[in-house]
Amino acid sequence: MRPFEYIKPSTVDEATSFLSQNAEDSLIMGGGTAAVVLLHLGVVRPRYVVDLGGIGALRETTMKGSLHLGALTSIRSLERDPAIAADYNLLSEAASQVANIRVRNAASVGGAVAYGEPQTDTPVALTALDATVEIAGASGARQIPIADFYRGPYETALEQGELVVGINVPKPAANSVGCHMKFTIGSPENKPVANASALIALDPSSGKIIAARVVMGAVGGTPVVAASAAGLVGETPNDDLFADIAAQAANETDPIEDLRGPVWYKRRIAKVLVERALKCALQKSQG
Amino acid sequence: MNVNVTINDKAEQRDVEPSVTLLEFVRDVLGLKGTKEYCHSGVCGACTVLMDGNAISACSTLAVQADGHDLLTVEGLGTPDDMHPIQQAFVDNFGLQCGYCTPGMVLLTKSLLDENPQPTREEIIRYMGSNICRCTGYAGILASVEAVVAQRGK
Repeated sequence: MRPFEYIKPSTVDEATSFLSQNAEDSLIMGGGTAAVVLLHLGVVRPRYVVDLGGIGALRETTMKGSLHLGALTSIRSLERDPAIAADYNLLSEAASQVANIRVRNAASVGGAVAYGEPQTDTPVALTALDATVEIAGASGARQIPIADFYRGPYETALEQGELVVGINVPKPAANSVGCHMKFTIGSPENKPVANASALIALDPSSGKIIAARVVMGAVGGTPVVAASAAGLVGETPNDDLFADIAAQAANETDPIEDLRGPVWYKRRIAKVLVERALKCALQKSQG
Repeated sequence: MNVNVTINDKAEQRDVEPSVTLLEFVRDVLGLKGTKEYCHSGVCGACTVLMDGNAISACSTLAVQADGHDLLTVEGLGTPDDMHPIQQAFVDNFGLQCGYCTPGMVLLTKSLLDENPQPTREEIIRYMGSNICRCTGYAGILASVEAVVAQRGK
């Protein structure tokens, strides 16, 4: 690995003030699961590695009406926290499917969001949950809806010198239930061909769908929010409806051909995953 | 940079470059060769070590990130003459073929059983799927883990 200077700020202000001078020469590191591999491969050759690991404030998680996740919250703790599993089941389910246990122990939710890798599971679930990304920079703090945060593969709304300090997840509407599905070729560590999060809420008296979100990953440069999910609202859930909406959702994707398959294949997989995620969410909400 | 760790219950302090990975630190600086390098991308698990009890990939961690933390490598579990029950179970149940993934598998088993002392077969399969064995197809590995669970359940 090429040598670099290691910077370990202990506050967000220290980090942003360093980055205001040196952002172009710096790699920001959360858990390190992506950063250390990129450094090893020589994909990035920064002068400075800024390790956020010493900023204790970024580890704070609170649940007061909404869920606030400090950027350094590990993926594994999203998976294991019973309070998150109870009220934000879609998030904990998606977290439990990320890579492998070693990655989930070390990787941070802020890092997963800021990296902007199109195949990652957690940003897909966070987009379905309408999360907000909390950003800090030398000129101040701002918040941006996660759907607006992603601009393209590995491209985000972060300006030079800014960092993700937290994620805020509003509590889903009453009776909302979500499922996350992914499909990989070979081992679970392989990046998925596609993944999908579905979140639906049923009216307890009529059984009709009153709210629905469908988001797909790995089938576009950013998480793809399916506009066709609006067609679920007001309907009584059934298999034909789910198949129809899933087919429409798959048509909204924009995958590229790569080693995980051609475009038509990824769309077909996306359709199947959306359908399964909707059926899974329905099954769970019917208890 | 100064790195202070407790590794296998022993305090160690070394001065290393920040670009040294935890894998290089364990193998080349401390000379503990049980931890293996293979994919160097956090996928395979040959370099699994436990940091504060949690399984991580030493290849995708910097040594400086481990400063102040508690580490366990396969050398800290047992010795050939005095094996840890998990190691013994892998021997008894043929939980290995070439042996390259074994230190990682053994440590992953420890982390599984520390978190969940009586896992179901389904839970064992899901957990152990985090590390890759490219020889045996996992049957011996699962039998080894189940043997430890059964032994502890007695």
